Amino acid sequence: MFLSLTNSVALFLIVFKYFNRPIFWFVLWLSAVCIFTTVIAEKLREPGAARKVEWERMALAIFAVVFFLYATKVYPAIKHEFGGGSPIPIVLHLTKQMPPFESDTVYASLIDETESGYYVSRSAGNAVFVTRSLVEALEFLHSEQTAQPSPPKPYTSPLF
Amino acid sequence: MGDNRVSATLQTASHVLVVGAGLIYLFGYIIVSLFDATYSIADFTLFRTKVVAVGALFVVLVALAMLLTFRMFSMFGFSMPHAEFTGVPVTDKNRTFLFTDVAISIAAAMLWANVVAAIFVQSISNISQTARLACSFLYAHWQVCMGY
Repeated sequence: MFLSLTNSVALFLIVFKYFNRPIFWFVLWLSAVCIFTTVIAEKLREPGAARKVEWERMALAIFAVVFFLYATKVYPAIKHEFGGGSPIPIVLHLTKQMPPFESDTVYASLIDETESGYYVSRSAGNAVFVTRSLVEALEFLHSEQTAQPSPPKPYTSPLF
Repeated sequence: MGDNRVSATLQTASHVLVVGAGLIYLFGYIIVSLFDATYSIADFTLFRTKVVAVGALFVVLVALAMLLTFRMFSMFGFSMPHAEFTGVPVTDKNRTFLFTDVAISIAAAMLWANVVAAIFVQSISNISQTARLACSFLYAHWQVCMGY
C-alpha cells in the first residue's frame, strides 16, 4: 500500500513538473471523480448504511470540487470544436476604432458569443465586450495561428 | 396488454429523455457561468445552444471516469472470489487493504483515461507522451502488485 501511494504521488509530481498544466488538471479532475464514485459506491453497498450518510453535505462538497475544477481548469483547455472553452483566435474588423483597441482591425481571442455581441480577450484574464453593430466582419483563424501576428523580422544575412 | 406495455415504456423513455436533457443543460449552464466568471463576465442569457454541447461533454467525461472506476474495482477482484491481476484472495480481513491499494492507484488509471480524452485537449505528440508515462506507471504498479 505504501509503494502504491509512493507511485501515485510520484505520478502527480511528474505530471505537474514535466507535463503541461492542462494534463495535470485533467488527471486530477478525473481522479477526483473516481474517488467520489468509489466513496459513494462503498456507501451504497450495504442498503441500511445509505440512510445514515449525510448526503446533502457530501453532495455539496462533490459538486463544488467537480464543477469548479472542471469549469476553471479543464474546460478552458478543451478545444472549442468539442464543446470546450479554449479561446478561438480571431481578427475583428470593426466599423470604427474603439477606445480599448489601437486600430479598427483587432487580433484577439473569442471567449464567448451572445445575441448582442462578442466577448473577446487580448490579454490573460481581461475580457472586452464588443457589440455586433460595431463588427463589420469576423475572421476565424486556425488554432495553430497566433492571435497576434509577430512583427516581420528585419533581414539579416546568414553570413554576418 | 402489449399496447399498454409499449406505451408505458415510451412514457418512461420520454421522461428519462426530458430529465436527462434538463440535467445536461443545467450542468452546461453552471460550467459556462463559472468559466465566464473567471473573466469577470456576468452573462445570464438562458437559451444558448453552446450550453448543451458543454453539458454533454461534461457528462461524457464524468461517465468515462465512473465507468473506469467500476471496471477497475471489478478487475481487481471486488466482485470476484479472487483478484484477477494479483491472485490474492479477497477476504473480509484483507478487503480494506486491497480496496485502499486499488483506490490509491486511481491516478494511474486516470492517466490512461487522459490518453483517450487528450484527443479533445492536446495534440498527438502529447497523447503519445502521456501514453508512454501511463505505460511506465502501469508497469511500476504491476510490479508493486506482484510483490516485487
